[in-house]
Amino acid sequence: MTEASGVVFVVDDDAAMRRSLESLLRSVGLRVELFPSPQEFLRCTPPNSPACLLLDVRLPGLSGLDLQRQMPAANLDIPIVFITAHGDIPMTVQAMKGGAVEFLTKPFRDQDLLDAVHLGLHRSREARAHRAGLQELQERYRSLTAREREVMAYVVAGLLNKQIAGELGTSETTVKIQRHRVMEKMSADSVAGLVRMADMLSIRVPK
Amino acid sequence: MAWGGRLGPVNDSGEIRRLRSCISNLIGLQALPAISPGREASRFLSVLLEALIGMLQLDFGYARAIDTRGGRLEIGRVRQRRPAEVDAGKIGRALEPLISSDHSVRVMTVLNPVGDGELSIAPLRFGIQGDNGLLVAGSSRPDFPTAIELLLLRVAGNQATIALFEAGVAARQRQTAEELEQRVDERTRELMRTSEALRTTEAELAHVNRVTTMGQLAASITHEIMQPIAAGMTDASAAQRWLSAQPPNAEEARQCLDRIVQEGNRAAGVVDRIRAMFKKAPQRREAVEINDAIREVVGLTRGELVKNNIAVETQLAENLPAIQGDRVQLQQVVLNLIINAVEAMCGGHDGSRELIISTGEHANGVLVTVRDCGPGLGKEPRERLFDAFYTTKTAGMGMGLAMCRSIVEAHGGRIWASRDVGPGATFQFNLPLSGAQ
Repeated sequence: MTEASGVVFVVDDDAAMRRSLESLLRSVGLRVELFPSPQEFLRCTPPNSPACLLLDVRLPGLSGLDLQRQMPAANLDIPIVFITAHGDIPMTVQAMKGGAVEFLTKPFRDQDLLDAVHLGLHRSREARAHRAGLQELQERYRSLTAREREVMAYVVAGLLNKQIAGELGTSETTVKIQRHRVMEKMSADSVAGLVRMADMLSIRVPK
Repeated sequence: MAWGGRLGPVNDSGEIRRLRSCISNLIGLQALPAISPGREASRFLSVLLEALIGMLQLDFGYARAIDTRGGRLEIGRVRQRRPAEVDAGKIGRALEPLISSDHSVRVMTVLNPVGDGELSIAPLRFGIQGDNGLLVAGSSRPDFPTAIELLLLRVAGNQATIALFEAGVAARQRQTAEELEQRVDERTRELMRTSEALRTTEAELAHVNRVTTMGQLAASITHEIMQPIAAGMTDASAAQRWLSAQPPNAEEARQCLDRIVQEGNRAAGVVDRIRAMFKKAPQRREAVEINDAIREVVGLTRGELVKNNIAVETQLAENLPAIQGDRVQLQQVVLNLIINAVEAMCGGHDGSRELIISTGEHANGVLVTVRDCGPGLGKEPRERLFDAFYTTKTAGMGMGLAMCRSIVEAHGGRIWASRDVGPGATFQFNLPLSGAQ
């Protein structure tokens, strides 16, 4: 079960713990990067591959929970798996509320850790795909003319060509041509598909 | 004024005598408030009536007023050998229909309400608006009242006004004082109850203290021991996976096994240190290397220190002589001082978080110093710090330092809090080489 793409970041102040985690993760084919402190992790450049962060809660200086709070500001959108020697309930709740994938208490079963890491990488991959898809869609939308964008908004609002022509003060034939061009430029094969795209792009439907 | 013209020129010795007597009576009336006991309206009016009966040779005197509590006050005096009390209500009822409500003095002849025949009365209203009370002087003397007697009556009325006003003020003051006293009483009772509750809580908490300290220590130790165990287990899982890989990777697996051995030793070391600390041994006499003992305690509390973001610095003097004593007990002293320091630096204190533990030679023995960067001891009486149940912490029981002292003293040493050595608190103890006598 090799995860070809994807990197696991390990932040733990205990050197033995770091090395054992690295060995375990490498044994299933994962790429691993080790950091002894959150500060050093924050200095690394955001990865351009799916990633997961394995984070000890109890660290000198910045705690794991502190790091979790600071990551959005550092433009790091990486799913986190927490590990701790003795997690209490409030700590767990705080971590999970902050969007943690899993909260593991030492000593943990290796399979639980690997499952959590794979779930984290899966989420990271999905988020990346979502971001990539959205970017592509935004580019297509940008290629529309102002009038084509108006037509698109009316089409997804469910108006007929005749009604759109009335709204825009133009002929039905013109609307028909513009509508065809919108479908083509957006690579939409149906009105339903166009509506989904409009939804992803958060296009407001005109009243 | 009406009587002013009737005084006429001072032209004979009788007039001079009357004026002298008038002046002495005036002085007497002015002095009345000073000689009337207390500042009570009824007492003053009694004294005033008795004085008027004597000065003006009255058959009776009658006074009526509203007292400080809003009640009706009625006092009567008649002249016998000495002025005597009389049924004031009876006089009041007899005179009521005769007395007008205006403020002018209208002398009139009435039936004697306290004797036979007729007599003259001079009723006088007094008070700030003339509404506080009524003063009536009655005499069967045919020339009553003379101009001088009327003057004296008016002065008496003024004195009564002032006395009533002052009695009102005094009553209000008394009331305020009483209310205050009552409130002080209530607060005192409240404080007594609180202090009672505190004593009970203190006794209960003294028991909890040991458990809490153990709990904190347990969390720190859990971290210390769980770290190598977790690492070892992870390495073991990794080794299994390297060996079951296709093809198996023996080199990676061997590295895992090497680390497992190291981590096992590390865990065993932690357990040894804990065992050494908690061994329930009777007080022992053995050679103790104080630096080693301190290093072990610092190692065990490192987790707690890291969690609280405290940097620890040890300045242990080399070649210190070994002392004779109970290693575990001495470690408990150091542990207690460290826990106190941690609490001092965590309690809402914003300064730097540094703990300095140092050792050195001292007289014929060793000196141990534990210094923190907390808020310090301030004006706490230092000699009391080591008393049992004395504490400055909100959640402390005041047992820790007392135990420290008993242990140090059992070793023939002394423990104290130093003044002005650093920014925070500094605790020191010395231990002689020979130990306790």
